[in-house]
Amino acid sequence: MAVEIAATGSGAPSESQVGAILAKHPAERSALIPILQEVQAKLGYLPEEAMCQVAEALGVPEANVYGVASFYAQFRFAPIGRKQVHVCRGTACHVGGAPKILAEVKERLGIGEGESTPDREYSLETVACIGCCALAPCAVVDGKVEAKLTPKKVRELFQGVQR
Amino acid sequence: MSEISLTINGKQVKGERGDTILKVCERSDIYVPTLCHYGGVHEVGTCRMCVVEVQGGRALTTACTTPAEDGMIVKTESDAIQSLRRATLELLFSERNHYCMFCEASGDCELQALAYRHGMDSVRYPNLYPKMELDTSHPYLALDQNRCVLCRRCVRVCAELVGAHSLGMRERGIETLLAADGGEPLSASSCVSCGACVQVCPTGALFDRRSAYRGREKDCTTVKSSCPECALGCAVELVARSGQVLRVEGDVESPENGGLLCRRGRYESLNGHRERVLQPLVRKGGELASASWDEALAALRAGIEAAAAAGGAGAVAAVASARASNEALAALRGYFQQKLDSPNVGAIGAAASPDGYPAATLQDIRQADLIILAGEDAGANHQVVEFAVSQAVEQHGAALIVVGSAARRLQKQACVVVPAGSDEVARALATLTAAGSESLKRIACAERAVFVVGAPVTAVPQALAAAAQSARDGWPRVLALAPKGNSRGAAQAGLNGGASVAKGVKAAFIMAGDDTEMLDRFLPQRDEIGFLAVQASYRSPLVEMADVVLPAPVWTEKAGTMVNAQGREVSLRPAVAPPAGVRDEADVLAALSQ
Ligand code: SF4
Ligand code: SF4
Ligand code: SF4
Ligand code: FES
Repeated sequence: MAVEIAATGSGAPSESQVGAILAKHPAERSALIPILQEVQAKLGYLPEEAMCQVAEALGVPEANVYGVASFYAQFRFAPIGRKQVHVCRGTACHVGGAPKILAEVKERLGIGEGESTPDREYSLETVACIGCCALAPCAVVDGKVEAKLTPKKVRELFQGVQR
Repeated sequence: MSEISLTINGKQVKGERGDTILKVCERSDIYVPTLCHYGGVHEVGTCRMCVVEVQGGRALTTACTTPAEDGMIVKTESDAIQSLRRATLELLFSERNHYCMFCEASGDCELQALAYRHGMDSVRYPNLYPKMELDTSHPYLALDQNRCVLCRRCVRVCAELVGAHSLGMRERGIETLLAADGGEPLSASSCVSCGACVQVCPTGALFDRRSAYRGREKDCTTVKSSCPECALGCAVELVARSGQVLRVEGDVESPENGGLLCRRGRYESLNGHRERVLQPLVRKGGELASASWDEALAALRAGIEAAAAAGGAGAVAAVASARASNEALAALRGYFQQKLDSPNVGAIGAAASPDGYPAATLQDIRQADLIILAGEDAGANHQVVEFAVSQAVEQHGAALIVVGSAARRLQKQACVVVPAGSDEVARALATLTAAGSESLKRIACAERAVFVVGAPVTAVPQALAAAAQSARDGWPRVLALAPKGNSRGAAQAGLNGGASVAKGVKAAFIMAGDDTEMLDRFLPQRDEIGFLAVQASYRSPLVEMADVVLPAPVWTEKAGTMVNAQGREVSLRPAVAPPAGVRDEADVLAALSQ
């Protein structure tokens, strides 16, 4: 371009971090996924401004960046909590009452799947199987397997959580 | 292009190399059901409705994406095909909410029509009926995901024809959803409100808010007319019912705008809450009061002719909007110029076409290899031109040079941008020919250069056009934008575009019609003009200050012709009758001349 048009920056704190990642890649559509992966590795998730910045830099419509990012399960659109909660929805857990467990966890934390509490203490995901079906229904909370869960146990587990 | 021949359903048919099987079938009038296919955008083959059997093939294949080959033997109907199509339909119906009786599209829906055609009387799959939100954030269109069949027509049209790239798909599999930008509500997205997506949606997923639930196609009349909102005069279809225009659609048969319209043409000219002038008004004892047409015309004649008798023909002025039809302008001249001999007859927005170069059509723009866009936000008021420019750049790699300002997306697509304020654009344009410049190189090697110039630029500098003169005859071509629907016609009628009423005028007649913008500019002059008569469709501050007010039809109620920016005559045709007390402008003025 003969004359540079000033980029209209959003001024978000992550802007320069994303900028640094963009600088390492060719400004091509094919670099989209590696860039998104690096942005997520750096920021923990894909903030909307970061996706806009990537779209702008690669000349790819924002709708496409979002389409690609949301296609893959590996990308997150909300920041991750300090303690991650993975509720198992494998067959054994499902039969053992996983839907009730999940509903109770949601209720206690006040968040849905893929979300985190406003204080970023917890984030919630479901997983297909943890691999300890004998302990069903179960969940992993902050790295620790919680076995044979009941809604009551869930309430105790998250007692005192600010919602 | 070489000819190929195929056997379809046992019949010998011809096609051209490069055709898909579907294209060959279309050429020979063989029906193949389709849903995601839409002419003018690339095929995605997602709906699977067009499956056909190719002899020797492993499985049924989609006609819309399979290239036709010489000697191919194809069947478009068989029990296997029929049963697969039906299963596909059942899956589509069971995936979301297709309870037709509550749908805006019912009766006009392509999915519903396919289901009838395939005798789908029940659905064998469990109804998933997921809970889905409506996006009603946009003032003119609404999105009901419940009815969406993920055909992506809207996505492709928005990207490939409009160039806005506002729509995409998010998530995958059964969770796939249509999304604007990063999942924004439509009103907060990059959508430019052109409405193209609504026009191509085969179901009730994207629909027009104004016309929703107000009638199926068979209850409505459709009239082909031309949009008077700018000088492009895009071909439109006016859809009306019970004396009301429900919506404006782009005429897909037009080789120019091909179904595309801009926000102004499709939406703004209908949506607004303006109060109509419904009967003639005459000022009596200081107040505007209703009057009969005879009374009003007598008062008009008396006011104008008294001023002419006292101050000569120069004391009388007549100003029209350059949105008025050729017929109305001729009638205005008939009375004021020919009968009264007034030297003060003009049309605001009249603009002559620049001489010397052939006018560029929108098709020329789409096929150009170099486009030079110059003016103060050139194209902002002519979005359909922007769409054509985007197509040329994105699909054929045309080089774009922007002088002045332009929509942000065009600035990004440009290879050269010369920013210039409105008083500098003409000079900046001239500098493109500076020796050794990037622009000059591109201009010199272009075969099909198109200049699109908009206010304040009215013509292409001689040297620049000469530089763009290519070996090809008839290039470069120039599209000079103009502000009003009939700017060219008004200039051809010899009316000048001056914006004010001359000093010493004692009586003025203003033919505003449905051009509301123009009336306001006479407000500061109101007191200098003794007698003021206005022909207008809508009430406005100036209307309230006039001595005589004549009600005028709006464009959807009018017949007449206009000359567009390319010098082509386009026609207005009435879709509905004007309200009872309203008379055609041309007829009224012709009556005065008698
Ligand atoms: S989109 Fe078509 S098939 Fe679906 S509910 Fe509406 S009319 Fe019926
Ligand atoms: S109205 Fe036009 S710009 Fe907006 S989403 Fe539809 S096609 Fe795209
Ligand atoms: S909104 Fe309409 S055009 Fe767009 S994908 Fe859905 S059904 Fe197709
Ligand atoms: S029309 Fe061929 S797959 Fe949709």
